[in-house]
Amino acid sequence: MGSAMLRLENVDMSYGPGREALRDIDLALQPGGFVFLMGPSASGKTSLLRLLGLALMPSAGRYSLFHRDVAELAPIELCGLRRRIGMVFQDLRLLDHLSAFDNIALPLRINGGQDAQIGGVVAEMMGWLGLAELREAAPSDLSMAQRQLVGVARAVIARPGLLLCDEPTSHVDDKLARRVMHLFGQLSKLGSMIVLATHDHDLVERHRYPILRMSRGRLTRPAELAAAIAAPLAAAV
Amino acid sequence: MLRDRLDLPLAQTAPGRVLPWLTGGVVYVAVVMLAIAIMADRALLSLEDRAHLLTVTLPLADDADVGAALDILYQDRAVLAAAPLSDEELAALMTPWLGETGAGDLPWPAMIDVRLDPRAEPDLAALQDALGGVVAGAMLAIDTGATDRAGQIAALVRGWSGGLLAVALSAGLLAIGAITRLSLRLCREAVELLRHMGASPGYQAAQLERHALAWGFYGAAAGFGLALLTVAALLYNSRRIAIASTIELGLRPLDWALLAGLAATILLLAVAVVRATAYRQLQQAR
Repeated sequence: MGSAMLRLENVDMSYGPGREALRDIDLALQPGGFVFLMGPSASGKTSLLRLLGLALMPSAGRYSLFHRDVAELAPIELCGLRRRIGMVFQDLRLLDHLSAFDNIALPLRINGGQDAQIGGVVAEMMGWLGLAELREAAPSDLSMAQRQLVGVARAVIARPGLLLCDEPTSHVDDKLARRVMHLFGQLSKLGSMIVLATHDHDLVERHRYPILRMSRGRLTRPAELAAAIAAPLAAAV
Repeated sequence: MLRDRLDLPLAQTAPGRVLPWLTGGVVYVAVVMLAIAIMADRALLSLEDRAHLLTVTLPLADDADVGAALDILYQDRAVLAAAPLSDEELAALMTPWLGETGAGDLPWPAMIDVRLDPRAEPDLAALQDALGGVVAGAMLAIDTGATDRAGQIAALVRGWSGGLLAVALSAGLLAIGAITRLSLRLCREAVELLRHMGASPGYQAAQLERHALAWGFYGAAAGFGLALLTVAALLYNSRRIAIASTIELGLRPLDWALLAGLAATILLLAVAVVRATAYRQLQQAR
């Protein structure tokens, strides 16, 4: 557990007085760690993902990411840490005024990438996901499946150290879901930590990654999972 | 392809589209007001200069009388120069009243234009007496009343136009700041998304800055063009009013350059206000 790149210790998080969303969360992930996050609606999965993604801060406890205590970071350091996180949002959050290509290129642009370099990387990713023909298409012109693939591509394009996915395969067919999961698996092999929230039991059964279960803002089986989570990819297919 | 689109949908929001109009409006008002202030300032200088000119009229004088009057004038230390008007200059002066044919039939007085040292305080009464002593009926004329009134008007116009310039500029920049805050509010989802991706306040502020520069440029150019047309119309019409016959109301090449410089400065100020406002606003979110 000593080399965990992501560690939550007794973390609480609330949206305000009386609006507690997460309670007493303990979690550790090593580089290459891949876990499913399951639980009923409103159990706190999205809140946990937002906390892990540094969109929200703990109201109690300690969260360290990439060996940095996030509570002690200056705003500009937080920006640097966020650039190492990829996020597939449940509601996709594509920017409608940008093309599919420009949406996918966003993280690279924010990272200060050069246009020529970005162009090649994004084109390769779009080709791999079968989006090559949709380079200039606006998100509003895409099907839900295509939009979800654009959201996935945007999350992984900068090869993040931590990838957070909220129902990343909910709109794609089985074949595309396998392709997306293969992509995540490859990323995990390269050392990225992946937390994937889903309701899809078939998806979870097909891939033997550890499962975190959430209920009423708590991780219900943290002790049982500790060893599995700590071992990078040990249980992966 | 990558750089010609902004990550924030600023051009899709109403405040984002208002920005060029606002910039253009501020540029228009400021340039016109500055042009008026410059013209008024030039008129004031011209009037102050004119206050140091006077005319000596010698009725029924011959060349000897004119020579004697010149001697008297040059004895006064306040007189820098004295020059008799030629027959052609006298004819030009009389023609408006007497007509082309009538002007030649009358005996004309001799007239001498006198330039006084602005730093000296001439004793005009003593000079009048001395001139009267050598040429009977000699008169000194200085229309101080008219120049004083014109000077007051010019000073008032200069003050008001300068004040209006300052007010328009301040109000415009404040409005641009408010529009920037509103734009950020309307683009909140995109701003949040970029923040989650690690975009720093500086990165996002630069997006607004680029938008302000690109769109504001068109607005400023249009405002400046319209202002130039207005100033040209003002100059054209000023030639018709009475005061223009006695003072200079034109703009020199340097003045036109100053007007262009003001337009460019306002555009840069607007861009700086947008960036500073956005940066401050974005910094507040952790």
